[in-house]
Amino acid sequence: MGRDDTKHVGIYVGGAVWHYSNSMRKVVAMSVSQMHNHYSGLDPTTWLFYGTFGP
Amino acid sequence: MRVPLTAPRLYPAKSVDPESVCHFLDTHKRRSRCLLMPWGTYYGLSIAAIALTKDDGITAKGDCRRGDAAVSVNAAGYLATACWISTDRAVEGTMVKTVGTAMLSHFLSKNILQICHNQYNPKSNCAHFIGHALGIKVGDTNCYNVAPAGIPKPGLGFTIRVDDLSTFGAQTRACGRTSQQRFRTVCSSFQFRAMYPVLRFGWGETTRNMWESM
Repeated sequence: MGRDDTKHVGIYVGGAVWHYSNSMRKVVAMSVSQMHNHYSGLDPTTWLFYGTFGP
Repeated sequence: MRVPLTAPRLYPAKSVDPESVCHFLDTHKRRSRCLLMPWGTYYGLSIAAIALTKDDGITAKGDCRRGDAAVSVNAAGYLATACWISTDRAVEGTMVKTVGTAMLSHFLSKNILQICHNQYNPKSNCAHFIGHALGIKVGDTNCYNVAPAGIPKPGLGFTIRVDDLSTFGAQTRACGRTSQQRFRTVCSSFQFRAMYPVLRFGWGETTRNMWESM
């Protein structure tokens, strides 16, 4: 994963994605469907990653 | 290959007076000791502790049992202290179910300037928020060493870059790339583990600048 700015990250927990909305300038929580629909126009150059943190 | 955790701890591991760190003095002060957790090694348990807020009903005497943990969240919203008392798996299992939303609700609807004590407010704060919310300090840059000069800073900074979070995730647990079609399935299948609040992350990278609209 490179260092360019075109990335976004959120926390999936309890059935919702918690992330900082840069457009609304605040922390928001939304469903996975809402999050997914926000990127419905993704092209093949877009990569989606997932991962977990924990002991 | 799994790399050992190297996350810096915010506070030294030592025995402390419970009354000096705990929110729940009425219940915790009767305990024999309270350990200040070495952040990084036990951050999962520390996060779990946040579930034990007054809103979660863990305030009455007797509700706090061995294995309970507590943290305090200071006015800026970041983790100030964490303490944990002994081990009781049954209690931890209960805590895990409520971790996450209870902790994250402290940050809901807050602007980054209400979260970041360093008053660092770049164009994108997605990783910055997570750094504060989970107390993650990895990578070369953080909100302390890049914050504007002239702002009083307490000397504590958190991760601000998505790729640093990605690296950290790869070091601690499973991490990978998936297709757009599978992304929703992957997210929907996430479940808490029995003992620890394994927090799941999703992130994306694109050659276009559309992520800024989030």
